[in-house]
Amino acid sequence: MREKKPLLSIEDLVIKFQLKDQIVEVIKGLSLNLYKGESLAIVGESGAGKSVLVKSLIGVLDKNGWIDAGKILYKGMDIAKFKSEDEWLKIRGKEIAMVFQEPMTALNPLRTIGSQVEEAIVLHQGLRGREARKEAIRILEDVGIKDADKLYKRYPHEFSGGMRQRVVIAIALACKPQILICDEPTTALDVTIQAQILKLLNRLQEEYNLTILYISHDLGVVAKVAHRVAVMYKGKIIEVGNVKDIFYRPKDPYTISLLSKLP
Amino acid sequence: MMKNLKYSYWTSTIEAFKKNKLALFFLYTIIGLIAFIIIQPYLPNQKSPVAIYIDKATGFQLINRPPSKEFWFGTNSIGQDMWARIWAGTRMSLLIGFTVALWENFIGLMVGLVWGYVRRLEGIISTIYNVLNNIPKTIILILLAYTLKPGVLTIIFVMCITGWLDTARLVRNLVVIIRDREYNIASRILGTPGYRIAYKNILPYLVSTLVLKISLSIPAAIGYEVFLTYIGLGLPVGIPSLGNLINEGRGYITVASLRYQLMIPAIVLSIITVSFYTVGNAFADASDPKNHF
Repeated sequence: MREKKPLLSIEDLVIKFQLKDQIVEVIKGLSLNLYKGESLAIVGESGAGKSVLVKSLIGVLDKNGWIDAGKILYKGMDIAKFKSEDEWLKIRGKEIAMVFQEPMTALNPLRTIGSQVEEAIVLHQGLRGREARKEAIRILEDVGIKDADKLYKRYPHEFSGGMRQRVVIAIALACKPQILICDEPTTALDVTIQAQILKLLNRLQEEYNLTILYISHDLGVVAKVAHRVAVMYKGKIIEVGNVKDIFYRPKDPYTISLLSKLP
Repeated sequence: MMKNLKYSYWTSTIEAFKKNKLALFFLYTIIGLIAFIIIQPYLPNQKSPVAIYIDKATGFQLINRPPSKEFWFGTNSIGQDMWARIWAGTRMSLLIGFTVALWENFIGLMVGLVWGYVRRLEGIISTIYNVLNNIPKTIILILLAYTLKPGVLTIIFVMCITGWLDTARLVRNLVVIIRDREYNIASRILGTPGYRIAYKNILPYLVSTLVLKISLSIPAAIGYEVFLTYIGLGLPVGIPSLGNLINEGRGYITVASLRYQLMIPAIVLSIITVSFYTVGNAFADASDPKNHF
C-alpha cells in the first residue's frame, strides 16, 4: 500500500499569525509525510492548529498569517513558496481538493446541484456540454445519488444533509485530485449518515486511487477510515503511527490522555 | 411540494410580480406611454414640437391659446403646440433617464465588484470613493454643466459621473457579504478563478438589487434633468424636455387661465415617477425568493 517516497512532504513548517500587539506561532516546526494511496488522519483538540495546517496546503491562510519557515514539497514544487493566486490555481482542485465539514453552506443555494458538479468538470477535465453533463451524472451516481439525471436540476435546499455531503464529495472528485482533504467530513451529520459517508469515502479511495487527509477530533471516525494517525498538539505532531499502534500502544502521554477521554 | 418540482427562479419571480395588481397597472402604464411616444409623431394631424404657429388672418403668433380642437393642449407663450411639445419632451426625458440609469449602474456594478472582490484595490477605491462622495453632488453637477457645452450628451455625462457612486457602494457591500460564504471559499479552493466566482456566484445575488436600483435611477435622472434645467443649467431652450416645459410653465403658476402650461408637464412627470417607483419596488419584492411560496 505504501510507497517509500512520500507524495506530499511537510518539513519543519512554521506558521505565524500577526495579532494586534503580538506574533503568535501556531505551527511550530511540524514535519509530516503523506504517502500515495494512504489515508492519514490528523487528530487533536480544538486550537491544535489542524485547520491552519490544512489551509496552508491550499493557500487560503487568513490575511494575518504566513509561512515563516519550512517546506511543503509536492511533485518537486515547494508550495510554501507560492505567492500569487495564479500559482495556487495550478494546485487547487487539480492536485489537492477539499471536502468541507458543513454541507449546508458549502453549496451555492442559487445554482442547481448538477451545474455545480458540471462546473468543476468543465474547469478541470476540459469536457464541454453534453459530455460534461454525462460525466457529472456518472460521478453523482458514483457517490450514491440515485436517479442523478432526474435530480440534476434540483437546488441544494431540496436535498438532505447527507445527500448534500455526497454532492460536495462529488464536486471534489470531479476535479480529479491526487489528494483529498476531508475537514471534519461527518461532524454535521447524524450517526447513521456518518457511517454511510465514511463507507463511501473508503470505497472512493480505492476506486479513484486517492490519497486522503482527514482532519478530525472524533476518534471513532478516525478508527473507521484511517490507515495512519498523526496526533497533533499545540502546533506539533507528537506521535505518528498505524491506527492500531496509536489506539492500542500509544507512547506519548498526551495520546494516552486523549484516548482515555473516549466515552 | 408538487409545486416546487419545477421551480424556476424567473418564472416564480414573474408569478409573484403578477399578484401585485397595482404594480401591474403601472407597468402597463409605462409600456403604454413608451409605445405612445414612439408612434405619436407618425399619427395623423400631428404638429411640430418646435414650429411657431401663426394666425393667418392677423399674422400674429397664436400665443397662449387654451386647449382647443386645433391645439389639444393649447399653445405656449410663443405659439408652439403644447401637445407635440409634451410628447417630444417626454421622449427626450425618458431617453435621458434610461441612458443615465443604464450607464451609471453599469459603471457602479463594475467598480463595486472590483472594490468588493479584489482585496488589493480595496484601499485605493475606498479613498477615491470617499473623496468623490464628500464633494456635494449638486456642486459637481453645476460646475460641469457650466463648463461643458449644454446639450443632451453633456447632461447624460454629468449625471453618470456622479451617479455611479451609490451603486458602487451598494454592490461592494453585497459582495463583501457574499464573497466569504463557505461555498465561495470552497469554490476558490477547488481552483475556480476569481472572475468566474464573481460572474457565476456573486452576480446572480445582485440581480434584484440592481433591477430596483435601475428602476429608481430612471425617475431620479428625469428629476435631475428637470432640476438642472429649472436652475438654467440643463438643456438649451430649443430642445423640448419635461424640464424645459416645467421651467417655461413655472412663470404662469399664478395665472389661472394659463396654469395648464405648468400642470400638464408636471402631471406627466408625476405619472412617470410614480410608475417606475412602484414597478421597481414590486419587482424587488417579487425577485426575493422568500416571497415565492
